[in-house]
Amino acid sequence: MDASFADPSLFAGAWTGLSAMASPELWLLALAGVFLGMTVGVLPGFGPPAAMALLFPLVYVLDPLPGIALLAGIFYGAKYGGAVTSILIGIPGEADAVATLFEGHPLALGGKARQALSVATMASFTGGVSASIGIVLLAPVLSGAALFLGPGGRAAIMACALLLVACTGPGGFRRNLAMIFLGLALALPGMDPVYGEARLTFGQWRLSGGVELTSLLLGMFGLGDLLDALMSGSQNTTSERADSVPALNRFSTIMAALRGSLIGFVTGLVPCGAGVTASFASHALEKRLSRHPERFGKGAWEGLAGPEASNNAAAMASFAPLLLLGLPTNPIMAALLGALTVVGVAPGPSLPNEQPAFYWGLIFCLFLGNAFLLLLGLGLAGFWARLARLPFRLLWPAVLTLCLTGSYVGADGMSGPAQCVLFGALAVFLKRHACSPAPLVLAFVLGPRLETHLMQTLLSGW
Amino acid sequence: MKWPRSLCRFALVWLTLLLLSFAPHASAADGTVRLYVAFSPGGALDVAARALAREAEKELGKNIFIQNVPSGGGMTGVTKLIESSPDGSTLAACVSNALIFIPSRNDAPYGIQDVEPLLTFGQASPVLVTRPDAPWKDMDAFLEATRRRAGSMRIGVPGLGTPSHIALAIMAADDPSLKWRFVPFGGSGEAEAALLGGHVDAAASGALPRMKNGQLRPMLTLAGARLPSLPDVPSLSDKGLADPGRGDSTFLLLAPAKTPENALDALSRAFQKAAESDAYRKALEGFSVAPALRNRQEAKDFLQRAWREEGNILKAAGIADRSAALPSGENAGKNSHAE
Repeated sequence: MDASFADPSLFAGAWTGLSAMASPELWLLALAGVFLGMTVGVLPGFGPPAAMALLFPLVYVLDPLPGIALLAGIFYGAKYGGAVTSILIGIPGEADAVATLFEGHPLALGGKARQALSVATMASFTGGVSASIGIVLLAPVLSGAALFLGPGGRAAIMACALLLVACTGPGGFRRNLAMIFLGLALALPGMDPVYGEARLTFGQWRLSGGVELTSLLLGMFGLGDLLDALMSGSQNTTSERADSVPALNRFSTIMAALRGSLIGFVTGLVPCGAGVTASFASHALEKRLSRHPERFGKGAWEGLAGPEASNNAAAMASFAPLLLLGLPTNPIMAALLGALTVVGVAPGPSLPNEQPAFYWGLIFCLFLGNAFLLLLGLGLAGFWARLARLPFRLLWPAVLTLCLTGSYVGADGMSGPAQCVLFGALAVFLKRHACSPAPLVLAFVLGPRLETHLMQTLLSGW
Repeated sequence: MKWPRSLCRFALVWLTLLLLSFAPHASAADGTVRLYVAFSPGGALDVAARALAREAEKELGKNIFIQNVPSGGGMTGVTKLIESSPDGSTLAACVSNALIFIPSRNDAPYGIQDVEPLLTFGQASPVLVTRPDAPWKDMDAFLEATRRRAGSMRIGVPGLGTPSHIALAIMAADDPSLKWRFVPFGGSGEAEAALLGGHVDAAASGALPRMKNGQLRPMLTLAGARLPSLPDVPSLSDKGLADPGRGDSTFLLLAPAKTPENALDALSRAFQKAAESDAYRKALEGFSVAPALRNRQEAKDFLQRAWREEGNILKAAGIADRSAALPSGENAGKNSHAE
């Protein structure tokens, strides 16, 4: 942690890393990782943890760098894939993609699916590349600083994020606050994160897994919207909302993406629910800064670019604590830490000096992966956008299947679809009362961590 | 009330899907063994089980298909095992607290009589570490500082009720002059980070590579025996202390009860050979896992004894009344829905 910005030895290995890149195998595996990640990101439920578990054995056969590059590609590829379904059919595959949905889905409904996907791709690329540059320049300093933010500080950040969304989210302060408490309550059943004892499971061990995040997302967004559309009978077609979409202002959208990258980079270094916190915060910030806050929720381009840049930046930034401190900030990073141990790489402040070929090679792979993401994303945008033009009567059975199978895979059992249907019904009820499910999802994701850090602070007794 | 036509269609499709989902699961192809690993990918148990399976595949001449089932602190994995058909085609690897500690407090649908242990293939041995720049250099100096500071020393543990917490709690219960504040973290990685950031004074860790390159200073191995890779670090028995973690942190390979005897024999022979192989030992090097190998009969006795002794150990640690104190391995199951 004493390595500083000015330390020239930090960059001494960069050339070694660059020469490690001269292998077609590495390029192919990085491409495969990104492509696989995008695919699993598009299929809700079958998230990156599952894909990673399937491909984990490859780490034993491959060289360290290509193996880790492949797994890393799955991680950030999936973050982008989640945005695709968010925009096209309004189903976020992951909690990170919820903020993308606010603006992305109205844009797709307004017939701008292709542009929305392109903007999301470019914002994602901006976030990824600027965060990778951030890692190169500042990671040793910042990741050290992140250590000094203890449990109390993290709890405060999360509480601030919740408050921010309560104030700026759609639906008004009182409704948002109610949704936040509902989300916190939904996170209660299951294993107590601190004492590990079952709570609110009514003596049923099967409930000890608590509420499944995949089922909540698919029920609240996918199934909820579907039920609502079917019950109201208005099968919203693309043409009727086309003129309500604001025009794309390139400059302000780029600025939004850059601001989002900054927020994402900083939150990605600290384990406080990086992607979710960052994307919600970025959306709130854009709404505050915008001269036309009334456009938000109807397809404001800034509100699409900001969160999308910030969640990819957060994904990239979380590599810094992993590589330089050996500190995983999320379960996928924890799996990567295990993979690093298997291939014999010891993460720590001395990693850039001791294994420069690996450290710099991996950082160049992050740049490379982002370039692949840009190419694949832009190339496929037209193809995916055609899906959004499918008539509703063809689309809804597919969405229904996706929701039910996705929640089945996510919960690994029938409890998934059952929860999904329940949350679908709840979503319709909330929608009829003008409540937005987004604060609920944020509170659900952050709740257990907020509780853990609060308890840790209290137990340390200072 | 007349339903809109679209809603009727919706209900029809939904019902069809529901029926389809009850269609019988395709049975595993012949000659494949399914191994449930009750731990998240990349964890110590997962790495050990995968290394073991790779060697056992050669012995058995069958493919072993691994599935990670980390939720419920390992309960889900064991439950999937006992719900499968007892024909030797399904096995599970778990940390022993999923059989001993957790079920008694969570109404799990199984007990130790529902499983047939094949062997034990390792014991997680957490190490008490401190910062390299801390004023205490070894365990004696740390105990000295604890007494002097009268109860203000904080120790980060990977969860309340985990073997490392219990080992330290027993030390504190035996010696009234020792008082610590235990701060639970979601796994030892977070506890290490809190240690480096100065939020706790010592932590239980499993990160051997980081101890070897000097980022963390090991003080005491919280297990009965020293780790082969940390030969200079004293263990609990060197200090004349009990080894309470034994019953909770041992890696077990299980088959469902009522599996035919010949299948059990063949499997345990193959896995036993795998556990003795050099490739398996090498896989454990990066993790603080002692190769505690027991054959089928020994594993069975071990499980029975650990089950009987459990209550006494908790009472000795002074956490029996707070029956909660529940372990989920080093970091299994926790944060399972995070991100």
